[in-house]
Amino acid sequence: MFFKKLYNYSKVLFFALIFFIMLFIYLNYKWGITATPIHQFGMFSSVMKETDTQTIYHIYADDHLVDMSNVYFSKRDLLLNSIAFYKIQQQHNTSVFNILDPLFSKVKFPTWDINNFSNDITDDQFLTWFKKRVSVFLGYRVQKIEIFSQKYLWAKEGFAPVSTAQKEFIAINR
Amino acid sequence: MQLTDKHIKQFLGSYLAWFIIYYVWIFCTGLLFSQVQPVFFLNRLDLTGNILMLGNLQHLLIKSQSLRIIFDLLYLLLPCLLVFFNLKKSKAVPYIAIATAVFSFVYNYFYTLMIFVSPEVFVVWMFMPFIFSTCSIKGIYFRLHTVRIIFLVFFLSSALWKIRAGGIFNTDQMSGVLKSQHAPHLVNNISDWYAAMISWFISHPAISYTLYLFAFLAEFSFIVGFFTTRFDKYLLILFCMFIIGDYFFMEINYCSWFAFAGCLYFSRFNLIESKNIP
Repeated sequence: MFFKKLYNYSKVLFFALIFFIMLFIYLNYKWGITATPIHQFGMFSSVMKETDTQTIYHIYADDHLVDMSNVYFSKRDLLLNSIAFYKIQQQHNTSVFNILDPLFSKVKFPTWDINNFSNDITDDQFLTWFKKRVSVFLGYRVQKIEIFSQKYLWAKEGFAPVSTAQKEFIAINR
Repeated sequence: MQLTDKHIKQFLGSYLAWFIIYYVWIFCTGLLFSQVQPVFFLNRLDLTGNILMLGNLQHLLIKSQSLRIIFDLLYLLLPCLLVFFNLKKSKAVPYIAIATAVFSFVYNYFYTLMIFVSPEVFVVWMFMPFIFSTCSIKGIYFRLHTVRIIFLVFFLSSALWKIRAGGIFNTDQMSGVLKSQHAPHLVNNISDWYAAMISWFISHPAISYTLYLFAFLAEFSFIVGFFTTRFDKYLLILFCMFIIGDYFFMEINYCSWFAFAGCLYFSRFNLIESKNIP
C-alpha cells in the first residue's frame, strides 16, 4: 500500500498528505469557504430546473449587436462575466470581508481594512476598459458601447425573452 | 518496469511542453494579465487567498502594467528554470520548486480574481512543481504518487458533490446545465451546427442526462485508484475523454489539467528497492 511506503519514506510527507486530505474533506463538508489550493469541485452539482431564467447581456458596438457565438468562449466569458461581476463587485466584496472579519480582526492584521478589499473604480473607468476589450476582441476601434440585459426562458424551439431589454451601461467616445 | 532517469526526463519534458503550450494558448487568446489589464477584482471566500491579499497586491496589479508584465514573465520563466535545474540535478531545485509553486499560487489567485476564470482550472500548476522538488528517483516517485492521490481526491470529490447537491438525481440536470452554460451563444445564434447540436441535447433531457451520468461514473471510477495503480491507463483514457468532453460540450477549458496525466501515466513504473539508488 502506497501510504505505508510513504510513511516509511518520509513521515513529514505522509502527515502532510493526510493533513491535506483531512482539510479537503473538512472544507468540502463545511460547504462555503475554501483555502487555495483546496477547492470545492461542486460545479454543476446543484439541481438545475426547467424554469430557471437566464439573464443575458447584449453588447452593442457602434449600434451593431455583437454576436457572442462568433467570439471565442474564453473571451466571451471575460466580457459577459465582467459586466455581471462589475455590477455586484462592491456588495459582494463587502460581504466577503464581513464574513471573514471575525476571523481576521482577531489576529489584528494592520492591512485588514475594507478599503484594501474593495475596488476603487467608477463606471467611466470600467466602461473605458470594457470598450477597449471589445475593440481588441473584435479587431477594430469601437466608438460607442451599449449594454442591455434581458431575461430569457427556454421554450420548445429555443430561448424566448420573458422581459424587456434594460439598458445597463452606455459609453460613447471615451 | 522500473522508474528510471529516462522516465523522469520524459515527465519533466511533458510537463514543461504542456505548460508552454497552455501559456501560448492564453497569450494567443489575449488573456494574459498584461493583455487584459484588469480594472477590478471580485473577491472570494478563500482563506489563504485573503491572507495573500493582505499584502495589497490586488491594487498594485490593477494600477501597474509593469507589475503585470513581470508577473506574466515570471509565470513563464519559473517552470522553465525548474525543469532546467532539475535536469542539471542542481542543489537549488527544492528552492526553485517552492518558488514556482508559491508564485503559481499567487499568480493564479489574482488572475482568477480579475479575469474571472474558475480557480480550480489552475490548481495543477501549483502541484506539479512539488513533484520535481527533488532530483532523486526515489523522491520523485513518492512525490508523483502523492500528487496522484491528491488528483484522485479532486476527481472523486466532484462525483460525491453530484450526489450531495442532488444533481445526479435530477434527470433534467444536463439539459439545465447546457442551457445555463450556452445561453449567450443560443440567444444570439441558433443557426450554426454547434448551437443546433446543443439545442438538440437540451430538447432531449434523457439523452443529455446520459452524458451527465457518464461524467459522474467516470469521476466516481477514480476511487479504484486509491487501491491500485493497475487501472491507471483506463483512468487516463477516462480523464482525457472527460477533459475533451468538458471543452467540447461545456466550453470549459480544463486542458491545463492534462499536466496531471503524467501522474497516471508514470505511476506504472516501480521503484528499484536498492541502497545504491539515490
